[in-house]
Amino acid sequence: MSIRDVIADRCRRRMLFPLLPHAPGAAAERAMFVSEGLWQFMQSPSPDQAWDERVGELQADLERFVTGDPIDPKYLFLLSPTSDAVWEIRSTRPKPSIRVLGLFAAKDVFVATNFALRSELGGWQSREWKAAKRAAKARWRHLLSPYQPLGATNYTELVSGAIDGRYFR
Amino acid sequence: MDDTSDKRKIETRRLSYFRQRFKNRVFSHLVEFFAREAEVSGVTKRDIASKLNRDPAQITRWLSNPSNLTLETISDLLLALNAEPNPPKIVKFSDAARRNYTHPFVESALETCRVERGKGASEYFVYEHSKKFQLSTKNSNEVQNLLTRENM
Repeated sequence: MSIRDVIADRCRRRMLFPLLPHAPGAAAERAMFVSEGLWQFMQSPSPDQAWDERVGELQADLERFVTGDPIDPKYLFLLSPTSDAVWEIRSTRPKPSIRVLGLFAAKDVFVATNFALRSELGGWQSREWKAAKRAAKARWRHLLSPYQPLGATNYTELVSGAIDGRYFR
Repeated sequence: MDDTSDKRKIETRRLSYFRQRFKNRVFSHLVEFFAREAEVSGVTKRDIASKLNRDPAQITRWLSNPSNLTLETISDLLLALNAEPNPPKIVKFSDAARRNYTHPFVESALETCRVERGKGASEYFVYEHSKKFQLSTKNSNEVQNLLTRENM
C-alpha cells in the first residue's frame, strides 16, 4: 500500500481530513491533510465572534499552502531538531498567533498533526514546545506508521513554488 | 455555487476568511514579484528602504506578513521597484472558472466518499464505498466543507 493509499484510507476512516479551498474556483494544487483534533477545532462553531473570525483567518492561511500560493520563508518553518522533520505553518496575525505543526508525506503533501497558540508555547526550548513537537511525531506514527516523513531541511525541496528565502534576510 | 445577491447575512467566519484570503493573495503576488526582481536586478530591501526614506526593518516587516500591508505601502513598495499594481480583477463566484486540477493525493482521498443533497434544504447524504448515510448536522461549516468536496 502506498502512502497515498494509506492517507486515503485514513480519510475514509475520518482520522485525516483533506483541507479543501472554500472559495469557488480555487484548486487544491498541493495537498494538506488535517488530523481530527485540528479539524474539529476548525469546523466547530464558536459562540465567541472574535474566535470565529480567527478560525476563518486560519482557514485562509492554511489554504495558502493548498491553493499553490508562493510560499515564503516566514510561512513555513522547520523546527529544531531538524532530524525530527516537524514543520510549523505560521498563522500569526491577527492575534492570537497560531502554529500548526505537521510533517511532509511527499513533496507538496503536508499532514497537519496538531496546533497550538504561540502564547502557550513559550521560549524555543520550553517544555511546551517540546511537548508540541513530540505530539506531532506521535500523531504521525499513529496515522502513518511505518512510513517516515520527508526529511529535507530546505522547504524549497518540499514545496513546489516556494520562494527562495535568501532575498528576505 | 454562491449567490452573493441573496439577502442572507454573511457569517462572521466567512467574512474573515475572505478578507484574509484577499490579503494573502495580494501579499503572495508582492513577495513573489520582489523575489523575482531581487534575483534579476539584485535589488535589496535596503535599496527599497533608501528610496522610500524608511528603515530597512520596516521593509522587512512589510514583506513578512500579509497583515502588515496597507494599500499605501503596497503602492510604495512597488513604486520603489519601478512597478505599480493593476487593480484586481473582480470575478463573480458564479463566473469563477471551474478548477481543472486537483492534487493526486486529494483526488484519492475524495474518491473514498461523495456527497449528495437531499430534497430538504438541509438534507445531505454521504456515500462511502457504496453505502449511503444521512448526514445529521446543522453545522454550517461542516456542510460547507462537504459541499466543497462535492464540487471538487
